[in-house]
Order: sequence, then C-alpha cells, then structure tokens
Amino acid sequence: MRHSLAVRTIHATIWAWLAMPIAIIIAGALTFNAVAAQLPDRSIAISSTLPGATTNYAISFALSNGETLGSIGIQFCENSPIIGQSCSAPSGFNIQNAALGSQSGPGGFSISSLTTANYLILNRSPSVVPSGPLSFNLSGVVNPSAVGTFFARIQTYAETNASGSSTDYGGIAMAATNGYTISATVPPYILFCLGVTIANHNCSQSQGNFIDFGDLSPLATNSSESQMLIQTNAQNGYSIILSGNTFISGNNILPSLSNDEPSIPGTSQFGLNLVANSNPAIGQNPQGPGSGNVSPAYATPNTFRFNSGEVIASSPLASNYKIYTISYILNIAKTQPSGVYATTLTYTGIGNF
Amino acid sequence: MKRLKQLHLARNTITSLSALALLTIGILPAVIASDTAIAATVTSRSVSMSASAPGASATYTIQWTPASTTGIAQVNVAFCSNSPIVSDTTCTAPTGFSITASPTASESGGLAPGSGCSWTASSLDTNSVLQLAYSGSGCTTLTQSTSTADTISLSSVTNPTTTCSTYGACTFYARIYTYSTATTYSAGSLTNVVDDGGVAMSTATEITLNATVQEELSFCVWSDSPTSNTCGASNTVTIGHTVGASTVLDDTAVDTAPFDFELGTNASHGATVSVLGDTLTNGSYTIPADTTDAQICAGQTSGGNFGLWVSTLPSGMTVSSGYTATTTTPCQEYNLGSTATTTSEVVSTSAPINNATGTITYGATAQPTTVPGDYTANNQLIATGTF
Repeated sequence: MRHSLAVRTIHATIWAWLAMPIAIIIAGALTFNAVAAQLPDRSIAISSTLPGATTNYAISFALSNGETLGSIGIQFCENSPIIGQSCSAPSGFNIQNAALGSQSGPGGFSISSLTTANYLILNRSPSVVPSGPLSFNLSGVVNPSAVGTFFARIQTYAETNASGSSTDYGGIAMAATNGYTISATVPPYILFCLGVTIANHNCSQSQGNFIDFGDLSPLATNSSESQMLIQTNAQNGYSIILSGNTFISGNNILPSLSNDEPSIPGTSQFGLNLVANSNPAIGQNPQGPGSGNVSPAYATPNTFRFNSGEVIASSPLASNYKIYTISYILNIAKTQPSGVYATTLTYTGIGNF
Repeated sequence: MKRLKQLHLARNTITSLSALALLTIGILPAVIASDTAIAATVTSRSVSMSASAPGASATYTIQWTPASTTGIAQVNVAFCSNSPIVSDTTCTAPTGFSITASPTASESGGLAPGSGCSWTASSLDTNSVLQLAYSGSGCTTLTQSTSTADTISLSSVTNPTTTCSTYGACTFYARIYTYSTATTYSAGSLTNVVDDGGVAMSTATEITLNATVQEELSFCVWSDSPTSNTCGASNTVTIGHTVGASTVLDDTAVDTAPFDFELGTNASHGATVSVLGDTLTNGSYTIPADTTDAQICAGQTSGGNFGLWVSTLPSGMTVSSGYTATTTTPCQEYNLGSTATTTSEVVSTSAPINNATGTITYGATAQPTTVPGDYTANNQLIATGTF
C-alpha cells in the first residue's frame, strides 16, 4: 500500500513541474492608463493641403462611452502621433489664430486662450456627455510649410484647459502635398470664306468666285447671289467690310446706289443687301448658330446699296459660324452705253481681339 | 550419523520454513487482492485549460486512459489545492475556483455514452467537485477500453483566483475517480473506485507585451506626361496638341493630361482622395467644367469642356460617383465636381491600403468661341484617413 502511494506521489509531482503554462498576451495597442480608450472614427479633413496654405480643418471623432467632458486637447506634431512621446511642432504650422465655426456633438466648445501654435485646446463647461460623434470646423489654420506627413494627437479631459489626466485619446496622420497646375493656350483664330455657294457651312465646300449677270436689259432687273461664312473666337467679335468699285466698262460707269433704294428696272443701278428679298426674289437671311447681324444699311429687304468701305455685317462677341448671303441687283437705263461691265468686290473679315 | 540426521533435519526444516515463507509471500498479495480491490492508476492523464489567468473563465479538457476495462457508472473529478493524492481525505477547494452549480460537461472518447444512455453532471463541495452519473434505461455501466482515452470537456470553469506571487503558489490539482457503481463521493474514499489518478495544474500571471503601431498616411501626386514619371516629378503640365511649333487647345480635339498618385495608410476605416480646384481659367474667361459626368467631344458647345476621370484605379480602392467614366463612345466621360473652395471625392478605400498607385486623366477642349489666351487650372488631390 505504502509503495503504491509513493508511486502516485512521484507521478503527481512530475505533473506539477510540467503543468506550468505561461500566459502571454500580446497587446497591439498602446495602454497608457488603466481606463483610457482610443477614440474611434477619428479624422481631420483638410480643405487645402498645400504647404503654408491658410485653410479649414474639419476634426471628427467619437466617444465610445459616456464621460465627463470639459476640454479637448489636439496637439500637432511632425514626428509622431504617439501620446507621451516628444512632439516636434510642424514647421510653419499655426492653429493659434484659427476660428471655431460649426460644431456637432455635446456642443458648447470654444477655443481656449491657452491654445498655442501647435496645440489646440477646446473648452466647455464640464459635464457628463453620452457616447457618440463629435466634430469641429476650424478656419484660418496654417498648414505646415513643407510637404510630408504630419500628425495630430487628440485627448479628452474631464477638466477644462486640458488639465489633469486625459480620459480618451487617439492619433491621426495627415499629409501636406503640392498641388498641380494644368495650363493650356487657346490661340486666336478667325475662319472666313467666300463662294457663290458654301455647302454644309463648310469652307472646304465653298464653290465659285465669278458671277456672270448675263445680258443687261432696261426692261428687267438682273440679280445674283454669293455667300460668305465667318467664325471667330475674338472676344470683341468681328466686322465684315465691303470694298471695291461699281461696274465699269472702259469709261462708262454703271452707277451704284449710295443710299438704300429699291430695284427700279430702266434705271441704272447697282446695289446689294444681305437679307431675303421679294423684289426681286433673291437672297436669304443670315444662317447659323453664330452671333452677328447685318448692318442696318444692308438689312432692309428690297432695298439695296453699295458703298465701298462700309461694314456690311458684324458681331460684338465671339461667334460660332454664320453664313451671310449677299444679294446683288443690276438695272440699266436705255441710255446706258453698251459694253462689258465688270467689277471685283473684296470682302474683308476682321476679328476684333 | 545422528548429527548428520539432525543436520538434515535442520536443513529440511530450514528449507521447509523458507518454502513456507515463500509460499506466504506468494499468497499474501492474492489474499490482499481478494479482500480489498486496489484501484488502478489511469495513464496519460491531463487537464488542459483554455485560459490560465487567475480568475479567468475557462474550459477544462480532462483526459485519461483507463487502466482497466471494468465498466464504470460514475466519474468524479475533484479539484483540490492541497494535494493530488487520491486517497487524501482532505481536499481543499482552490480559492475562487468554481465549476458552477450546474456544470456543463460533454463526454467523448471512451466516455461517449452508449445508445440511449447519458452522463448527468452535478457539482459537489462548493462547486469544486464534478460528478458524472451514468444513466438511462438499461444503462448500468459503460465498458472501458485501455486503448481509448476518456475525455470530459468542462466549460464555464472559473480558475482559482490565487495570485501567483511566488513560485508554486498557483498550483492546484485534480483527482480523477471512476466508479463501478453509483457511489456517494467522499474525499479520499476509494470505495468502488475502478481507476484513479491525480493531475497538477497551475494558473499563471499574464505577461503583457506592448507594441505600438502609430497612425500612418503617405500620399504623393505627380504629372505623368509627357513621359512616365515618379513621385516628386514636376506637377506642371500643358494640355493641348501640337500645331506648328506650338501646343494649343482648340475645338478640333479633346486633349488629355494624366496625373499619378500613390496612397498608403493604416487607417482602420480607410481613406478618401478628393480633388480641389476649378476649371481652366483666363482672367474672367473660363473653359466650362463638365460637372455632370458627361461626355466631352471635340469643340462641343454645351455640357462642359474640362474634367477628369480615374483612368487607372488602384487595387483595393473604389471610384466615387461621377468619376467612373464608363462611357467612351463616341467620346470619353469626364467630370469635375470641385471648385476652388469645395472638394469632390474621386476615389476611396474602406480599409488600410499599402502604397497603391492610380492615375487620374484630365481632358479638355475649346469651343469655337473660347476666347484666346493662356488658361490655368490649379488643382489638388487631398487624402484624408479615418483611423
């Protein structure tokens, strides 16, 4: 019996030596006081992250548990977000002159006079507040003067002016970064073309630069048309100037209409306008999305004129494409000397940049 | 002759006495065995604790291999602070220890009950002794096997609360008893015990290792034109196409300019990247921004002529609404939801991200009536982490 007991004792002793577990707990978060908890959902949204910029900071975080809250201390450091480590103020950073705008949560906070260039203290009358989110919008914060990461350390306190032991804490990392610049050069341009016809408002499809009015008669009006297209980004618009002479044959002149007058067969006349007419039935009003108008002197249907050097159409603004149709009339008196009458007209489009 | 006889007699006597002694010795164990059944010691016995901190709630896995095949009707496991000796009539309950008044135990291995049978768990001696009673219709005993381990999983055990201030201070013991028939448990009593055995355990003070991982956020933006660059490259770019010797923006094409960005953060709730800035501006003249995520075609006169889209999305990030640019026919979609004072979110992540690189591409075209001149847009990308 005694022998058996001795055997059992030895076995038990061996188990005592072997059964000595050591519990190892690896903590992944900082524990610097027995009850402090990390502030969840914490962030600082910076309106502009340009180095040295004066901008707005939107600070947000939450309380996991209700606590007595009298102040919040937010320290900005360039070296570390870890509370308890030394803090180097970010060069150029300044929150001392910031203004507190809107706030959400328990409310009642104001900026403490103890706030320094890199340490913001928000005070309120201490009271118990429930768990939940808080946010603060600050304007007039000066970013660090250098590009790179910098940090904020947030701590809550039961007392005012961030005094006494902190209750909860949390770190935030932010980045000051350079912006970027996109530049573009829009060149000045004007598109102006002439033709007997211009199809599809496309200058490459303009056709003809010669008009044959045929045989003139005192019994009827001879007429014809041509077109011109203009488009420009000149901010002050464009002008189209007419230049040239009336029809001439040797020393014989077919007189032009210096004033707005109707077409009268049997009377020597040369004139034009830029609108739709019924007598004779020629021409059309301007077309296209562009801005611009026919000069009044050439804008009356069934009246025509010709004065070299006059502006016949214009726009005060940059204009998308506009097509003007020019209506020409020729009449001769019985006494008009015979001959081949011709002229060359020049239209000049000028962009007013 | 007589002396010789006497000697012979003595030798014989001695021999007889020796034989008698031998016989006695050989008999005694048999005699003892028949009068008191000596319990065998279970082998390979252990108590594994899921948690060893003093006072912690734990699950105990009690295991042993029977030493005999005798059927058992009852199991007791007594937890004592004084000794593991099964015959010790004193079993002091460890301070703070409890298996609860209604212990929760499951049996397996050699203790798996037969069909229609079960083990009923109860607690004795201020919740320091576990008792399992075999029950059920026709369930008298459970046959054991010396090659199959008996296992009890006992949950909701409260460890002893004794602080481990000195070596050995936290050692406590379990005494295992199996019975051939239902028996009133008494510390140290081996009546009806089939097998028994003691086990030593110990709680232990936790060792805490602190490791601090600080909040991190790194962000960089750089121009990726005219050639591929890296972080730190110039952030000024001219958007346009070549006409003669100049780079111009006109109504004949939509010109583009890519920018790369790289983001890394351990923010547990991820981060957002937002754009801040206005459209191309020349004094009082602007190239209108595309604010509706619409297509931009060359020279179009409505819908905006300047914007951006996320042309390369970093792995792990999501494009924000308006910058997905899914439509490319007939023209690419662009968007610029920001102004000089308000940001517009471009991409985001909801979890930490490890140095992911992406590309945003700006697009621009002039209208036929865009006033000539040099236009500039000063934009930023802003990264914000939520920790």
